[in-house]
Amino acid sequence: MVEVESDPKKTLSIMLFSGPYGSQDADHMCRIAEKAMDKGYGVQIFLYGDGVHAQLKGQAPKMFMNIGEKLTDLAKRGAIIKSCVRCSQARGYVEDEFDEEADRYPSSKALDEVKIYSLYGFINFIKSTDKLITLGSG
Amino acid sequence: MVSVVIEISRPPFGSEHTFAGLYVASASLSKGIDVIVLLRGDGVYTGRKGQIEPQEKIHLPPTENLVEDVIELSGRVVADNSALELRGIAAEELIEGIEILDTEGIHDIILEKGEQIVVF
Amino acid sequence: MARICLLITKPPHSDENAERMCGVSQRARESGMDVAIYLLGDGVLCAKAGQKGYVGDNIRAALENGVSIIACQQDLEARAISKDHVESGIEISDDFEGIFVEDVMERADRVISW
Repeated sequence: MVEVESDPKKTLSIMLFSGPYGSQDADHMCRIAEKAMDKGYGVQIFLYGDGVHAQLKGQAPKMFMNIGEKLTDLAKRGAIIKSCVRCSQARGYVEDEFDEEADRYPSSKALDEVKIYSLYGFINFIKSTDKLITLGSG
Repeated sequence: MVSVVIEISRPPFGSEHTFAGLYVASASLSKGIDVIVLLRGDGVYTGRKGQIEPQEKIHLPPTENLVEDVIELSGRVVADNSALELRGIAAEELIEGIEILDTEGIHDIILEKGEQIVVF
Repeated sequence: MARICLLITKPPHSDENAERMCGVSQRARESGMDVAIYLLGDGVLCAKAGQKGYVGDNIRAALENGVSIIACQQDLEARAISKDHVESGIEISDDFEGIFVEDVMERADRVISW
């Protein structure tokens, strides 16, 4: 493989459509996102459908990689992580109307690093990203 | 203009994939993105018209209306002919405005128009 | 030359995803595109040598037609598929995500994942 200099302005977006532990998808997402950040790319993640469960606080898997911790790490490194409000509301995460100041729908159950957002959050990812991959669907 | 191809390959009500895909299609269109929805495999069942009150009968939103919304917003909805034939679905059974293409035509859409591709 | 990256995380015979991936790959080659197939998770099962039917035939034809196929080493090993059991010509990588990300971000015009 030829070494390519990474352009820091490029962004990779990932949509996750399945839950954190029902399949390998969330694990793949975290590994791909981590590698993209290591290489200097911007990363945007949208949690959709059961994918929103990846935002749950206090995950404590015994045998699996902790997806909640990985998402927190990715966000601390600068990844933008949003989740679908309609999917989050259906699954009991949303506690109030959109909070303009916090730029998210409030939830004490969801990781602070994840912004519960309208679907337009994802549409903006589609519009602004260089590349998009989808995991957990198909 | 940004263009997105949305591939839907599950039947309409057994999982939330179809709603999710059609919501992304409508929301993208409303933000000025060019959208082509591909109905492939069991996804072609979503192209059939004549659903009777799914909200009341099985507590799920009617995907038929969501498909109509996409077409009304000038999105293209394309069904794979071989998937239709395999399932015995005739062109007359489809929602008005749905195009039918052979699998090669579907692949060409992915290759030519799939600036971003979302698979459901 | 335009380039497309195809990522598959689904097994070859449970649903139609691998078949769809093969179909897109074949059409892309016919259209003169450069194609790379990435096998991750259960997708590595597409790399198993000696498979009969559409996916096996298509994988072998793709390799003959210059498609590069890369499989995740960790996923193969976890599933007891050693190098001897991988279709010859498929590249096995222990830095799968790194190679995939770089290809997608720097070389590919299109990416699709099932």
